[in-house]
Amino acid sequence: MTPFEQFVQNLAASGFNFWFLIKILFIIALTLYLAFAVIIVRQVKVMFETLKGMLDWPIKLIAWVHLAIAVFIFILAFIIL
Amino acid sequence: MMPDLFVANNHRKRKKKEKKDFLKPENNETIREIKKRGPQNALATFAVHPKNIRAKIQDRDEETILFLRRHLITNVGWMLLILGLILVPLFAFAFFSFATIPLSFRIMGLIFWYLITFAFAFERFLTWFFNIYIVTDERIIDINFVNILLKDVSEMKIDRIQDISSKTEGFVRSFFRYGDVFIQTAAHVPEVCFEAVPYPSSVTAVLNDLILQEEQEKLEGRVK
Repeated sequence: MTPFEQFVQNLAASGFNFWFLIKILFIIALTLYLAFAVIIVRQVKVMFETLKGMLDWPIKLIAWVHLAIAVFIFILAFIIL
Repeated sequence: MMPDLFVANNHRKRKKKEKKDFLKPENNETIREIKKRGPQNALATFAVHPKNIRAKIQDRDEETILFLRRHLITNVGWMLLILGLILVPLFAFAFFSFATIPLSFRIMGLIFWYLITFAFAFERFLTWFFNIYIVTDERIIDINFVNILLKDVSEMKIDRIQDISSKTEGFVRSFFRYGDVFIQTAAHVPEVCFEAVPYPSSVTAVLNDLILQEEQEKLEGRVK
């Protein structure tokens, strides 16, 4: 058993809900990630307003799909964790 | 030669057209030579007279002569890092046991890892894609997309340029023929640097042609 596994078992034995803490950390991280995905969509839009005639729609599409995936994973974290 | 005190509008338009014609590949040897190098699309690192690519601050009759961004090879570092990040979970699951971690947390951890990896790759790509230098027949436009939260656009008139130099140093830069172009100006931005752009000597040559044209315009008293 690795020291980490021992640490986790000791915490569990003491009644502390370690995985609930990890779930909260996941939710916080995914919230920040969601903000990042929104900023990307926004910045891509602003950059294509500054520059015209470059691969607009494929990059905008990637940014929007990325945001959709971030939202999906955020919801998934609530469901499966 | 005395500069003209008054230049009729149609004369000015004709001179402007002459200037544009001078910068066309069929009339300018430097531009003709560099147009042959590589693709001229939106992913290009070096495009001459790119079709449809324009900065918002360009005037309607202002033509894009050069479109530059960092050489593709400058992306190799972060691409290798991404490859490493993609492989980390595979090695981690092969060499370590995560049996004490519940399955849902393992799955979520894995998803989160690849999400972060994708975000890093996309951010690096956007930084490369939007870091652009545009040379028009009137000015130089430097669009900097430093990171996802910081971008800045600076521009300077061609007639404000005082000195141009280029530098290619090191094995990789010499082999792939890219380097930095330094432009000293009399504008409020004292120096603009085109970082790691392909064919720096050709860029310098085009800029010198433009300066000569601009000086001739000044002598003839038809500066815009």
